[in-house]
Amino acid sequence: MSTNTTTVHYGMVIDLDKCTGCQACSVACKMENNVELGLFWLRVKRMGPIGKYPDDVEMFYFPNQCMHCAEPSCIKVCPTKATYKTEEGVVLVDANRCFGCEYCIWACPYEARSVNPKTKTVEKCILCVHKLEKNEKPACAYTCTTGCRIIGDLNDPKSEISQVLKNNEDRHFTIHSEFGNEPSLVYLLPRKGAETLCKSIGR
Amino acid sequence: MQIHWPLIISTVCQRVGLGAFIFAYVASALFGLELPMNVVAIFTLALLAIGGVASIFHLKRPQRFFNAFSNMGSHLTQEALITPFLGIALLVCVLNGLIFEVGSATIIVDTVTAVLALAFLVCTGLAYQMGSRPAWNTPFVLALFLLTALEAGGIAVLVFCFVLNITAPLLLIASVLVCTAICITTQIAYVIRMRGVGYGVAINAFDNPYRFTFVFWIISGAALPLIGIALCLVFVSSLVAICSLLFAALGIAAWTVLFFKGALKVKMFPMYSVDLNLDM
Repeated sequence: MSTNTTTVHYGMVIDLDKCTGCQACSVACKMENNVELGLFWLRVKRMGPIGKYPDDVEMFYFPNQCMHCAEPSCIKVCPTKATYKTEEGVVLVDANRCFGCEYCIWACPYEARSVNPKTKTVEKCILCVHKLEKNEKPACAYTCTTGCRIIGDLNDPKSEISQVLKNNEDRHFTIHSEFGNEPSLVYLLPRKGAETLCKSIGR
Repeated sequence: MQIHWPLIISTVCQRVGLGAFIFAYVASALFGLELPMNVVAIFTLALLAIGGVASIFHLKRPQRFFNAFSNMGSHLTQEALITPFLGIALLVCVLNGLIFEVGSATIIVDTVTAVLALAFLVCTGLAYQMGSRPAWNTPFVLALFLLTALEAGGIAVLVFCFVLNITAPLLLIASVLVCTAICITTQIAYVIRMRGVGYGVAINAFDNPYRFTFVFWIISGAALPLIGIALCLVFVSSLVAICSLLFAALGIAAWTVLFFKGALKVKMFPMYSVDLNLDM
């Protein structure tokens, strides 16, 4: 992981081929960040199974969390500037400024935000910035049983994440890129089990 | 989407109040209607105040309300910034003729107030236009905020005319009727559009859980105001005009409930007929 904070742009790659839906990342996130009961900063959802067994079945797991967009719609709509982006590209919420209007929740296309009923402010994945500052992996990436999550500096061509992206150029997929949010979370399409998705995006 | 009642109350109050001022201002200019603008301004100010209080109830941490002035790029901040200026302008309109006289500057005060009222409504309308909610991601939203304001505002002007015994020109009543008809047509067009807005969002207003609200709107927001205004063309009746205004306001509220219910989020993978699930 790079330590040059002026040019770092943290991003994450999630290889959907490797995710087994074990939810270990979800649990690790809750433990690491003391996420309130009933709330989740990330969840692994499942698409399918749909289609006809045995040859036409489609199913894949989809870890869903804040995409730490380069152009986040949550920041644009937030009237309090509670939501902001660090120089390293991590989108955070300042709980001391948020007044819980929920417009960021409405504006986020990724269902990444929720209101904490205790603090009455909005929260979401913080990409474990406290661990990134110590050159450690976020809890989800550290815990992932299959190693499907790779975190790193997207601006550094030598970083692991850049290498993984380079080696899997035909599998890059960002959710709803047409909205112009430029997510920093890139998924690698499953090689099998997501034929409808691949077909719809011309892969 | 969850129904946010404080926002429904606040936006209905804002639309009726500000619409009344804008319509009264335009009617004065177009039809030479001699409506006392300070009376209209009292009505607008009262509704704006109720709406403001209601919108604060929407906030989870209302004590931090003043943080709302932080992000100039946000339509909510723009709305919050306009509010004090609009309030002062309306207050000047109220006091003009009661405590002091601004004389020939009255037209300037009224024009500035009407422009601020319009700007406020535009900011509110734009705040709801967002890509993540396909039903809202359309200029229809802004158009409907303005048209509902004009519809209710026009009926409110009729109420003022009848209650204050000011002759309402036939052309004025006809224009209120036309505004209402255009508004209802646009609302119907919005409902038709909701049937297929993409991203896996397709809402049929005749299906549950939208049916009751939609039928309620047809009766309260479309049929009854139209009948009421048509009756006002035939005979002068304050009661009919007041009832029409109340039904129009109820109709806007019902419409806004439908507006919130229909604001479903984009599906993450709209190319699949089913949605992602957590049933592991």
